[in-house]
Amino acid sequence: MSIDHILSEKFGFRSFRQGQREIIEDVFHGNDVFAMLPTGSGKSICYQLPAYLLEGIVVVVSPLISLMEDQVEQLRRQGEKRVCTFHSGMPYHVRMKILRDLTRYKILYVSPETLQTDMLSGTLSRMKVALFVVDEAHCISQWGHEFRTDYLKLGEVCNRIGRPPILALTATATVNVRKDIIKLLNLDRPEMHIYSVDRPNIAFQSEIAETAIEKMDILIRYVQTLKGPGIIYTSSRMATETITEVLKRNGVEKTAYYHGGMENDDRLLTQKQFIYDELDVICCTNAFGMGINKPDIRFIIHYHFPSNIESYLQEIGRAGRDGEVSLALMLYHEDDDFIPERLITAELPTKQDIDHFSIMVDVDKLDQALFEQSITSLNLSETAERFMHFHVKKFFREEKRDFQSWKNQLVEFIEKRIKEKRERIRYMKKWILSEKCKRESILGAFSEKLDKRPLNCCHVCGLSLEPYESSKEKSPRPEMKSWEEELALIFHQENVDV
Amino acid sequence: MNYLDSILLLGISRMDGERTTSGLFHLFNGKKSSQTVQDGRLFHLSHLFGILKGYKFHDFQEKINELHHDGLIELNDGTYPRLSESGRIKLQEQMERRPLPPSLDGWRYGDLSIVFWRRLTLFAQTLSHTLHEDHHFHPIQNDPDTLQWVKHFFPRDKESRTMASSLLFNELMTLLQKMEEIDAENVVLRLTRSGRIGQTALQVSERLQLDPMECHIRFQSALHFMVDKILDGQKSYPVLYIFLRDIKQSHALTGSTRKTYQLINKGLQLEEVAAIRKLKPSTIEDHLVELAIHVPEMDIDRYITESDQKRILEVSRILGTKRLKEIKQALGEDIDYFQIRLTLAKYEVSHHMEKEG
Ligand SMILES: Nc1ncnc2c1ncn2[C@@H]1O[C@H](COP(=O)(O)OP(=O)(O)O)[C@@H](O)[C@H]1O
Ligand SMILES: [Mg+2]
Ligand SMILES: [Zn+2]
Repeated sequence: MSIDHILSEKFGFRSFRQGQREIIEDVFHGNDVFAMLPTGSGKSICYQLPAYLLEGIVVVVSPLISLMEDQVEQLRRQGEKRVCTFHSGMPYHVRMKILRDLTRYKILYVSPETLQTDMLSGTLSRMKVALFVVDEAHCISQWGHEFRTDYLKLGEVCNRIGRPPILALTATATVNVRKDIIKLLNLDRPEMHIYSVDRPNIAFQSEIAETAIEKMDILIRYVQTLKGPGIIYTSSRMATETITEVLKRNGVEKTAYYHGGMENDDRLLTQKQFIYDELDVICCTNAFGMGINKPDIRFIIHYHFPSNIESYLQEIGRAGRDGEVSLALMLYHEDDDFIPERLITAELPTKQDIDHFSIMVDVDKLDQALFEQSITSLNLSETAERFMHFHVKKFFREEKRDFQSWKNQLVEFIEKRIKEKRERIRYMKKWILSEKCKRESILGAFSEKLDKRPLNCCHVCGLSLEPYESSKEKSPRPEMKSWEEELALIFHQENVDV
Repeated sequence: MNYLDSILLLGISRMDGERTTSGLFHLFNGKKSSQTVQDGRLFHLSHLFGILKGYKFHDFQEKINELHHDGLIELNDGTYPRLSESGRIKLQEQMERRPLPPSLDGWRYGDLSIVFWRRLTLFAQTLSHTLHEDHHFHPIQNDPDTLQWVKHFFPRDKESRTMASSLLFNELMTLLQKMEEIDAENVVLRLTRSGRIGQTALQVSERLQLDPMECHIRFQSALHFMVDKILDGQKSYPVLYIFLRDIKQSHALTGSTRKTYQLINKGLQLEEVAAIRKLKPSTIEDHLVELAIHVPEMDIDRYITESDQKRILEVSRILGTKRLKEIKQALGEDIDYFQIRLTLAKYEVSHHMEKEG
């Protein structure tokens, strides 16, 4: 069967999108491949399609359990049952069952951590692995060094399971990050498929507000007039709730908020309501989006700006996956400046925390349990706590332990990280305030030149908002039927007398 | 004063300065420790067990501080909340205006109703979509156990699906008609069907114009009511009973306690059980207290003589307290904390049963 045939048969698509065919062909030839394509361009097909033709299983390393499960859910919905995930959140007996039947599967999604376990890598080493895929490969460089050292060992595992060809996929990687990935994965003269991060169908618009109140007014005006559905990104849970309230009061009734502090049930309901067009607007923290596969999102508004330009690109990349025109709107007021600063400092322990820590632990005894306990009493944020645990573990793995030098190095490292992060915030802010073409300067961050300027580029180049506006009034929430009628609808008893 | 405040006041009034704020928090938050479980019995708060699951201690503390600030409660020794006179009046007023729904039973049905609800929502959604020939829908639950369960029990062919649908409809209709209108709505609005995703807690409370916490508690209570009726009348709800059949037992004891129970029944001593299970003796003591609460035939005479039991109860009654420390002080050295807890646990249960029986 040809790849075109499978594309239409299994995936229901008539033609390949940019890059897909070339990447798939290189994968077939057994080459290592590095591919960078924008978010939403269809990277998954680059390994899902070969899985039908290659002999053996395709192993996909993915950073988040939710991402893996979304992918599996989507494939199952397409009717492909021979896919599964394997991660620590699954009950032991389910994992054992999967291991026993592993040869029956075509695609296996794993986290870098579970892949390290002997149980899984042992089984894989005894069977044929057709392809080793690292999805969201920039995580290797972004997280590997700090929190998820198992990412650094992927090259090693790959050797252990017979060194199949490797496919590294990412949407956003600067030149340095690309080099880092290739080195860490030990790619062998990889075929490079680098496509522009540009999304010509997304236009850039920014508004700089004089006051916080004005900023809210601008937001309301845009949301009232723009064509939905859309997403509003903010920096805090509280902000998502407040903005949702305000929008509802201003006639945008089908608005809901979404953040990590909500009950799981409500999070799922909100997501699905958005997918099924029962909501016009979702107001959320950056917890929303990864793995949301909605092709017709028409606008992304940043009420607060993210802490680096890669995140920004990822977030606006959720708009317009269907290729239709969409808008990325940035709202800015100078009070926003302190928000990302606060976030990055909360992500890491401070020098003061480290000082407290060294007072609490017994430097002469060096007892690991006591060390780990002392972390908890520092009252750190979740990420900062994880950071400390990681470095304490690392310390106790060292042959010769010198607390003082470990401490100094740690403080130095933190300072360096914070400096880097500040630099990235500064860059993000410079982009927001710059008077140059938004598209050109965002491409510049990825060492790219703009090839062809779309008609609707950005507000600097001149932008008509008309194509993004809706002629219709926002619709109110639908009336509910009586519960008896509803129940009858759910269970198909409409014709039964109630 | 909102609904959450009145719930907190109720808890505080029952504990009456005998437990700390965190003791109260653990109960509302549904912590499965012997102490918390026992507290639920002692202070007649089992129905509120786990009713604020997922609530953060920090927020809880803040709420308590607010109540204190408003003069509704006093804080003995800084951490033992107790109603003030105005708090007492407020609580009474609130409970007359908006009494707790009578079916609420967090301890008995909390966990059970969560699993029941997950299964029911996903099953109903799957039925609705497949009967519309839509096989590519987005499932409304993502918990692997629930997905597994529905996959296992979902009828294979169209005919049996139609059948299941009409049976479920009838059973649910019968159940929901036994409730107040607003509670039936509270349940049905949250269900998902082809063409309409279920409403979130917040959306439902807006529709029904209820205080969000009141809406939440009424929903819990409605689920507890359903579970209770289904277990009670299996014959009338044969299909819904399937949703509960495999889990109905598991709520009463924690797994670890059950193991301890097996060993105790073989005649082993407390220390022997601890050694075999590689657990601290104090953990085994916790298990025994839990057993005294839940297993009526559990015999505690092995651990404390009958006359000592009488002494403990007597002291508790005279001092008017269930605070272990005070009872212990009054009794002196030859009775330990474990024996006091065990006795109070046992006594509370039989007392409870007498009342019900
Ligand atoms: N050739 C194609 N034609 C039409 N749609 C496609 C094609 N390839 C992928 N898609 C769709 O594009 C969307 C995004 O795909 P995905 O692989 O998740 O993107 P990425 O991983 O690059 O962000 C999916 O809904 C997918 O079905
Ligand atoms: Mg992807
Ligand atoms: Zn431009």
